[in-house]
Amino acid sequence: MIQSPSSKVDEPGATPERKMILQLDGVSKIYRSGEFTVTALDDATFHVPGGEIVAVMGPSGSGKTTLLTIAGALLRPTEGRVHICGIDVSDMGEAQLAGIRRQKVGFVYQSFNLLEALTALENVRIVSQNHGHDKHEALRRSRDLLEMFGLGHRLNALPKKMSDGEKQRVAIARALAKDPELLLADEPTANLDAKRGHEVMELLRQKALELHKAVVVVSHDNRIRQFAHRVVWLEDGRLREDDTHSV
Amino acid sequence: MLLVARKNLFSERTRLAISIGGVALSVFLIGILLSLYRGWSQQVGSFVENVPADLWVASDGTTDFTAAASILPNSLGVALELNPEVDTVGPLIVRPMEMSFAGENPDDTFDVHLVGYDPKVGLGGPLEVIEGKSPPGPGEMIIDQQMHRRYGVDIGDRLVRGTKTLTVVGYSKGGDFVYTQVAFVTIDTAVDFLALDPPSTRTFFVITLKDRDDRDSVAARGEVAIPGVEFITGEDFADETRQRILGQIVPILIVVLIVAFIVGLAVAGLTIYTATIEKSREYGILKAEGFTNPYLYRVVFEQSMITGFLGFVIGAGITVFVAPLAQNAVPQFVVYVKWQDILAIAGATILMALLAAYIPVRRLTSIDPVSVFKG
Repeated sequence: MIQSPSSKVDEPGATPERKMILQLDGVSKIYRSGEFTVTALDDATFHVPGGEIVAVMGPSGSGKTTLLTIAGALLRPTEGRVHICGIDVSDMGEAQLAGIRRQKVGFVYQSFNLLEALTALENVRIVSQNHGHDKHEALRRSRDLLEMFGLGHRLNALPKKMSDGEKQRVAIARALAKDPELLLADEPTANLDAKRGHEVMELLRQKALELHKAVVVVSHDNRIRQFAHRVVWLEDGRLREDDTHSV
Repeated sequence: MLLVARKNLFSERTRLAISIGGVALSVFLIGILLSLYRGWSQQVGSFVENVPADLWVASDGTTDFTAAASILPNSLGVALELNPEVDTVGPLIVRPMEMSFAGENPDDTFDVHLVGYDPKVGLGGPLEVIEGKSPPGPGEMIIDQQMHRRYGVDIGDRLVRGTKTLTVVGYSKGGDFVYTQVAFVTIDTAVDFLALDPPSTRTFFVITLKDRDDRDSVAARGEVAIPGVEFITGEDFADETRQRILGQIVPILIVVLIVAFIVGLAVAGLTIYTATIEKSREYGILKAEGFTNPYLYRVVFEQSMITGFLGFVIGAGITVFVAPLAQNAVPQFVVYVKWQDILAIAGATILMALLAAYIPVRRLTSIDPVSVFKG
């Protein structure tokens, strides 16, 4: 079982009694196709409290995305239990899972995944509105977030007119627009050069700590390690703590 | 309206234009066909309907005014006049024929519906003479203004059939049956021109009653008292005339209307479907972000509805604008745009938009939000 070693979290804003945001207990995911079965995740137990940044690393095909999608209430586990903010989501239906994602989980994707027809501001605003903020509140909040990420001058830019670094910052702002307690990032630096990747990760880390979010970053990029409180290795669907890592 | 629906729709202007164009074309086709049907329907029945008679009297089995096979003796008119409930009786001789300009190629003919009437009674004669002499004298005729416009027949022209000639002395209105027009002569001219044998033969009698409310009872008693004769109201006779002329067209019209609807549906459906498939990754992103299926359905339905609405406005606008122009250019193109038809087309467009969204909406349910983590 891999739990948060609280002694390793030593950042301003961290509290000794931290709320557990993500709990995966004995989670397995098995894909079946005819006679063949593939175990993407094998008996994974993984807890992340608020204010902690965890990097999940491993080679391609190790089950990182499966772990992320189960943690993000997109996929149900074959076995085991998943709790998000104390709510058991393991057996929820599609509509309930959508509700959990809408209220509790923010995603940052490898390929940004912005809606091409919408401006930066609109991309953030619709997620905020879908969370439940009224139109004016969503607009104000989205503008504040984008300004916080240094994009105040790019509010009305369409994604195709933005650099990759700007797109990823919009994506992080969008993820934070619904004020989620859990932030899940899938290879957030994969499409960025080293400098932009560093900037984006620093920003993500800074905001996550300021806003006291639980953050899971899935990557095979070793440079991610320096931004995480903890690093977890995933290989052939099995998790193990990286004891060599220290903050 | 949802932001995503509007933005996605208007970001692909060419596709939107094709989609709206398809719906507009469909609406225009439906609109113009319905208007044409209404126009013809109004036109072919209007003369019979507007003759100020309470009852038409015809020999039993007569189907309508234009295919008049009715043969009645003139003495029937005298008998009808003896009925104390009857106010006036007008005899009519009606005969469809082809005529040509005197002195020109006899093969260049046009259809004329010759109506011989009694000018002293006036019933069944021209509804309104707009130019020239009325009533016509011996060997003279008043033609419908549509015959003047369509075939260039002018006052003073002589029209011929066989060896007999009639001179045009006036124009009337309200006697256009689209494929033919009425031309009025006196009873005596008709007897002579058609060489009726016996000359006392009549086609119809039109009668007015002292009390119009009695027409059903007069008709019922008349049919019992005079075997082989039927009494028909102007409305019923007009309906039968319409049915006779348009009855053959309606099934064809329905088929063309269905084809027009399918064309609109296919264009709108395909463009909405293509747009949905193209944006399926974005719909996956929205699902991953916690947007529900009903929200996504609404996006597609709104896009379809906007397309339908714009297509309807353009298509209906073109119909209203083009219809009178077409009528001016082609006299047979008689159209009448009814607001009830426009409402019906609006309903058909809503149905078109709903159906066009149905398959794309089904496609949405199969989009897996996990797919957005790939690539």
